[in-house]
Amino acid sequence: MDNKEFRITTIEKSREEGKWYRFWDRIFRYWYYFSRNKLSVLGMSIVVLVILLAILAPYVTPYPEHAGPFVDFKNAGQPPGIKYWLGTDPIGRDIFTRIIFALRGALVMSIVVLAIAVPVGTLLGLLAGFYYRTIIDTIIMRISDVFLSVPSLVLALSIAAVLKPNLMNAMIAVTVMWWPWYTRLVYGMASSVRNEYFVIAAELRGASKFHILFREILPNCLSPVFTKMALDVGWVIIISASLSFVGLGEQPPKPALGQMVSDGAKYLPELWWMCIFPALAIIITILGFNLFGDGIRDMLQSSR
Amino acid sequence: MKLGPFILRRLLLAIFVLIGLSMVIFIIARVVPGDPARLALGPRAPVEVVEQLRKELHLDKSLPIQYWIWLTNALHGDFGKSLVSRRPVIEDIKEYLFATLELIFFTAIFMVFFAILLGTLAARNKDRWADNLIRVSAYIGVSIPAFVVAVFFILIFGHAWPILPVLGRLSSQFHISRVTGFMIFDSLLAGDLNAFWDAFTHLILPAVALALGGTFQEARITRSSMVDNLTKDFIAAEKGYGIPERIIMFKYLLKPSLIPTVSVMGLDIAATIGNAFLVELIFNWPGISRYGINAMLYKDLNAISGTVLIIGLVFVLTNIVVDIIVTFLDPSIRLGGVRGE
Repeated sequence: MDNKEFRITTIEKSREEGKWYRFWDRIFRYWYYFSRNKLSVLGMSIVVLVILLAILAPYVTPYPEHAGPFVDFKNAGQPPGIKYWLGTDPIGRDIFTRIIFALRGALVMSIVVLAIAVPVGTLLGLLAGFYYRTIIDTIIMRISDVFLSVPSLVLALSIAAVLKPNLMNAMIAVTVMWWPWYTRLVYGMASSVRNEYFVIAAELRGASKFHILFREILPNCLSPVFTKMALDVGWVIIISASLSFVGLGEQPPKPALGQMVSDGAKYLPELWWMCIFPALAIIITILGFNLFGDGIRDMLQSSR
Repeated sequence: MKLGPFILRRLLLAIFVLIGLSMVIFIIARVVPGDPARLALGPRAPVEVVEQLRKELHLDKSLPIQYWIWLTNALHGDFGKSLVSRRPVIEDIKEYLFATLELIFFTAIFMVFFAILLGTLAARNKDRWADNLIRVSAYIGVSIPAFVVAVFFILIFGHAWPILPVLGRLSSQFHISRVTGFMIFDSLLAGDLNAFWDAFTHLILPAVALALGGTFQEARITRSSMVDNLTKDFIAAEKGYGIPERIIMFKYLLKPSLIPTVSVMGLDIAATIGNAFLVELIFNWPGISRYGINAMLYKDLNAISGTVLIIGLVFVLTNIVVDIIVTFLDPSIRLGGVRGE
C-alpha cells in the first residue's frame, strides 16, 4: 500500500468515524434540550410505557382471553383487588386486561390515521405552496377550507355513522378529517420558503420540480410537521374515544376506551371501577402524549 | 386593511366554503350509503314501491342534477323528513337548535370570563404557586376529553353529592312559553324567577364540562401574552406617569394581550360545538347535537345532512365574528394600518 492510498483510506475512515461522531453528538444534544424539562421526560416515560403495554398486551395482561367474548358470571362485578387489579365488569371480564387491549386499538388507530393523513396533507400543502397563487393553490386550499369549516368530530361522526360502524370505518372517517390541518401547516411554510434564494438558485440551475419540491422545500417544512404529529396522537385518541363512546368505533365484545367509559356509566355508582379506570387510562395516555409533544416542540425550537 | 371590505371578503369566502360543505354533506348522506330509497323503506319493501320512492326523491337522475335539487330544497329550508321523528327535519332543527346555541353561548361566556380572570391572576403571580397551579391545570385540562368530564360530573353530582341537576334543561314542574328559545331569557321574560334559577342551575354542569379544557388553555395564552407585553415601552411609559398598577393591568395591558386569546377562542369554540355532541347526550340536553347523534345512530340521512349543514353554518359565522373581534381589538388594523411591522 503506497503512501497516497493509505492517506486516502485514513481520511475516508476518519470521515466515516466523524459521521458517527456527529450522529451521536446530535442525539446527545437533542436529548439535552429535551430532558431539560422534567415534564417532557415524564411524558416520554408514559408514552414508552403505553406503547410497550400495547405491543406486549397478550403477555403482560393477566387474562388475555377477557378481551373478547368471554363470560364468567362467578366473578362478575368484582371490586378492584389482588386477583382482578381493576375489578371486573357484570359478565366477569377483567377491566385491566380490557383497558390494555383498548389502548392497543387506540394506538393502532392513531398510527394508521397519521400514517395516511400526514403524507397526504403534507404533499398537498407542498404542492399548493409551490404553485402559490395559481389555480392549483386555490383548488387545494379551498377544499381544505371546506373540511376545516365544520368541527372535525362532527363530520367524523357522520362519516362513521353512514358507513358500517367498526374500527376500520372509524379510521377512514378520522383520516378524511385530519389531512387539511397538515395541508394548511405545510402550505404556510412552503409558500414562504418558495421565494427564498436557495430555491430560486436551484430553479436557475435547472433542477427538476421533483428536486425542488422534495429536496429544497420539504426539509424546511418538516420540523413543525413532526411537532404536530407528536401532539396529534393525543388528539386522535380523544376523537377515537369519542367515536367509540357513542358506539361508532370498535364494536363489542372487543374493547375500546370510549365504549368502556359509556358502558361503565350505565353501572354508576355501584360498579364505579368500570367507568373510572378506563377514563383515567384515557387521561393519562393523552397527558403523556401531550407532554411528550410539547417536549419535542421545545427541543426542535431550542436546538435550531 | 379597512374593516368593511375585510368583512365583505370574509362573507364571500364563507359562502364559498358553505357551498363546498354542502357538496361534502351531499356525498356523505346521498352517495356513500348506497340507495337512500331502499334504506328508508327497509329491505323487505317491494321493488315497485322502492322505484316509486326513487322517482319521488329524484334518485333516477344524474348526480349533479340530484345535488342541484337537494341544494335548492335545502336553501328553502327543506331537508326532507326525519325517519325517527317523522316530521320535517327543519321543524326539528328549529325546536332543538336554540338549546344548543344557549349552551354554547354560556360556555363561551364562562370560557372568556375565567380565561381572563385566571390569566391575569397567573401573570400577576408569575412563577409563584398560583401560576404553577394554573399551568398544571392547563396540561390536565387539555388531556381530559369533555365527555369524560361529563361522566365524572354525573358520578359526582348525580350520585355522590347531588347539589346540581344533571339531566335536561328545566325541571318538569316549570312551563315556560318559548319566545327567544333561550330558556334563561324566556323565564326572565315570563317573570318566573324560580324557573330562571332552575334553568341556570341546569346549564352549569354541561357548560363547565364543555369549557374546562379551553378555559385553562386560554388562561395560559392570556398569561404569556400579558407577560410579553409587560416589557413593552408603553407599559414603562405608563408606569413613568405614575398610573397605579391595577389600572395599568386592567385598562392598558389586558386589551392588547387578549388578541391571541380571542384567536384561539375560534378553535376552542369549534371544539365546543364538536364536543357538544357527546356532552348533550350525556346530560340529556335537548339540543341539536343530541338530535344529530341520535340521527347518526339511526342512520337518519335527512336529519344528518340538515344538522351538519346547520352546525357548519353556525361554526362559519362564529369564526367570522371571532375574526371581526380580533380586528377590532388590534388598533393598527382598526385604524386602517397594516398589522405587524
